[in-house]
Amino acid sequence: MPRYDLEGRVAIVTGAGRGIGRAIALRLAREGCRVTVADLDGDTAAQVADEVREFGAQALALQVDVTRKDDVEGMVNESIARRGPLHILVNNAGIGAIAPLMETDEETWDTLMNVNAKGTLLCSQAAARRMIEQGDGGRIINNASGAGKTAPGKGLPLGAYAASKHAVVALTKQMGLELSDHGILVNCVCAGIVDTHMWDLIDRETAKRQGVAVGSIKAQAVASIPLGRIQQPEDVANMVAFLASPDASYLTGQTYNACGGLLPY
Amino acid sequence: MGRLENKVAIVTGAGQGLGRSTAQRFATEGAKVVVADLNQATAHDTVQAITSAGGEAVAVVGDVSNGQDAECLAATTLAKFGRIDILVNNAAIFGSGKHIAEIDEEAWDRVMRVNLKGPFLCSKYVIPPMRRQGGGSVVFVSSMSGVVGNELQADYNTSKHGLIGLARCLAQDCGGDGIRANVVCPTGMNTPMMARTPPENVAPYAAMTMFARFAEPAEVANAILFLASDEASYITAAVLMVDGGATAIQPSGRQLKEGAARFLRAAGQEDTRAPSKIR
Repeated sequence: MPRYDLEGRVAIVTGAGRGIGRAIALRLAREGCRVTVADLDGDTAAQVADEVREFGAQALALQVDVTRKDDVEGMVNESIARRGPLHILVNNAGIGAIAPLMETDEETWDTLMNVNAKGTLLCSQAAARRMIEQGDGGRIINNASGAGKTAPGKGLPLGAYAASKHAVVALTKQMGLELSDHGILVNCVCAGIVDTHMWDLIDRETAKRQGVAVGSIKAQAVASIPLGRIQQPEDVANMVAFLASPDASYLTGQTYNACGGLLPY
Repeated sequence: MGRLENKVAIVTGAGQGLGRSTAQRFATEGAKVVVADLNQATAHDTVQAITSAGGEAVAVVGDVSNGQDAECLAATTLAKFGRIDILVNNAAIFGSGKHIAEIDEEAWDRVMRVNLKGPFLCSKYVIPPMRRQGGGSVVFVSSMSGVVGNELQADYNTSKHGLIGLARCLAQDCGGDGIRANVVCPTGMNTPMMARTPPENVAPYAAMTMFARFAEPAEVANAILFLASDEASYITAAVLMVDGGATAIQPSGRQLKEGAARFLRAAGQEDTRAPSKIR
């Protein structure tokens, strides 16, 4: 049952083939949005689009590499051509890499920056251009991470990832300012330890490095969450739905924690 | 179905402004609302507004900074509605508006007592029932003044900074009990008090936001509703800036000048101030 007045709005969600992006796509669809499900993996995008259609909402699946300008512009153009004016963009596509900074090679750095930071910029530019033409404002919601605000902590070698996510937080501030005159509100979400493939990867790789049992890294991290449970993708989607809704009309340029109290600020 | 169906909520300082807006919105969303205020007449006006719209509310008159009153607020709520799901610590007073060297001790104590000790006491007495119920949500109304410094606001800003610390510690102490604690930090709002203030006095503050306007109380109430509701079930210790992006930027002189002019145009006034006064 919808909680916000988003009926008929069109949303593009990147990285929506699984995990947090999938939960966001499903949630926005339940709120009445027509959803464009974009993912590098076209098969998973198609599966999520099918899930959306199962409960009667409209969905469009697109295979998109957010680091390629042509792909990104094609995504926005096709979504508008087939689903009508664009109102909401959720920059969710992101990747992680596990390595101490001293061992982070140039290629890893470039890949993280390309997907997490440049992808966010390219998608936002393409979407905002069309939103400005439409003249009816819009919403851009960026998915950073706790690593967008803090270093993830000893034993979690996510330095380059954190740098790329800090970039997303900075982009949010400046983009909010530059788009405010057009009524386009830009905000960012910092999730905590979310039960997804990415945390399975972090756990597995870190456990291997430390010579400890698989699962123990994640368990330790979860033990430090004040609310005492691992985060579900739907918890992130709740925050995104609020930020996409008319209820968030005075919020822009800011980064909001949805992390069970994990982050210190 | 409303977003707060079957919930019982206390809103302090609910006789006017943001508190009233929040209480009304909560009632619209299905909550039973306890309208707490020092002022009996305004508290009853809010209750009247809610009940005449078909909602459920009662007034509790008292001083949040008095321990007995705060305890009584929780006890009365339990007696009337049987549970407490939400507490919104909204009641607050302005500072003395003086230079830090001129603030007298009594004025300082009064601001701290109402703005900081009050929320502490109100929270303290709702925690045991929330714990017994298996959870609850406490929302603190801080301010943009809770994260930045302003001229002539040492007492007020210190109290609002303190609320953020209080909320974060409550979140740590009570997370295991399922009790969440969060903060909203609004900028100026278009309240009756703002309407009585000459626009040129407040234009510099409006100009700090990306919209060059103040928030409507309803826009801030939306954020409080979100944090109070189960939609925010994984959100605790969070500070939700409802500030039109003001604290995301280091505003340039040009932004402040253009923003103030835009604000005054919207208020139907020309910008007559010397640019040097806009910082």
